[in-house]
Amino acid sequence: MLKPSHALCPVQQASADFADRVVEAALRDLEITRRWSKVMHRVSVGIAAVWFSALIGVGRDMRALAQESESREQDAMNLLEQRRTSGRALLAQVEETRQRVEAVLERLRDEDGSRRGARSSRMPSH
Amino acid sequence: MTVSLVAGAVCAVEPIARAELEAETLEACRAGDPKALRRFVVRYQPVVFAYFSRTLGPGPHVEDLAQEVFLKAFRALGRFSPEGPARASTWLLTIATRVAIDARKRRRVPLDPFPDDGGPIDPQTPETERRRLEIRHRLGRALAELAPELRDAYVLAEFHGMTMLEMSEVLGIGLNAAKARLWRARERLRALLVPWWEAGC
Repeated sequence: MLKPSHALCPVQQASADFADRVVEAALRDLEITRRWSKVMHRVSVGIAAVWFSALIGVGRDMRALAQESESREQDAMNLLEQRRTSGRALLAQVEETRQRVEAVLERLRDEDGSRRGARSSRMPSH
Repeated sequence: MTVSLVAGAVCAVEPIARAELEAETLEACRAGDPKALRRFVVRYQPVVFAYFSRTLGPGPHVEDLAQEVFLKAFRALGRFSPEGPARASTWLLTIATRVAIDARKRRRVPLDPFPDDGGPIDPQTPETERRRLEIRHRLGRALAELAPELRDAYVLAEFHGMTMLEMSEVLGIGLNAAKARLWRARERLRALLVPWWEAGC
């Protein structure tokens, strides 16, 4: 290391008000930093709030969709049940009609048989 | 802006060896206490001014760069621990070195950092004073001729009394590179000053 007795070198001195100017600038700087961090805090709180409300909105939409889907499913089940009931009624009607037709055919067959019997008894025997 | 040099003053080894500020003051600085901030600046401004005026030459840029160093230090004070390996003055000189490198890159410093100061020496000046001024002038010119990175290494080691390890941390280089830089700086200064010295000054 150079000893004071060996080295000669000019050293610039700070002006008298240097420290005050630096402190003033530093306080200004700190104030800006504080304000900036406040703004950033508010922005992040805002972003969080937007996210939260978006999440709530999505949740609400999903619940509404689920309810709608459930009600549609219920409607479809009701419709199916209705169709099943009306199908059964139709089948019963068809069965009834079939039975009636059967009865009519039976009666006609009987009538036809008795008519044939009467005709053969009226014919002369050779 | 007037630039006051310690005219003709014998250059004492810079106050890096002086006591560092106590942890309470640093804590108060972190909290933005103006009195503590002022104490910090007053304590360390000689180190920073000495470093800049010796590596970049004296001039109005020294105050601007010193202010930049203190503002950067205050912003980064939260990350500095007085219990850590680096002293506050070493840490501050690390910031100053980066600022100096940046200033050179951006050409914010004079092209001739060490202009002739004061012109010819007055013949009425006493002999010892004449010799002292002559040596100062020669040393200043020799320092100006060093490459900036060699000058940084030389100033930190010789005028700020840094150890090789501290110097390597401040310059952001390895220990061997720091040693090599200092050796090269000394060799270059020797080459510049020995002929003049041997010629009887």
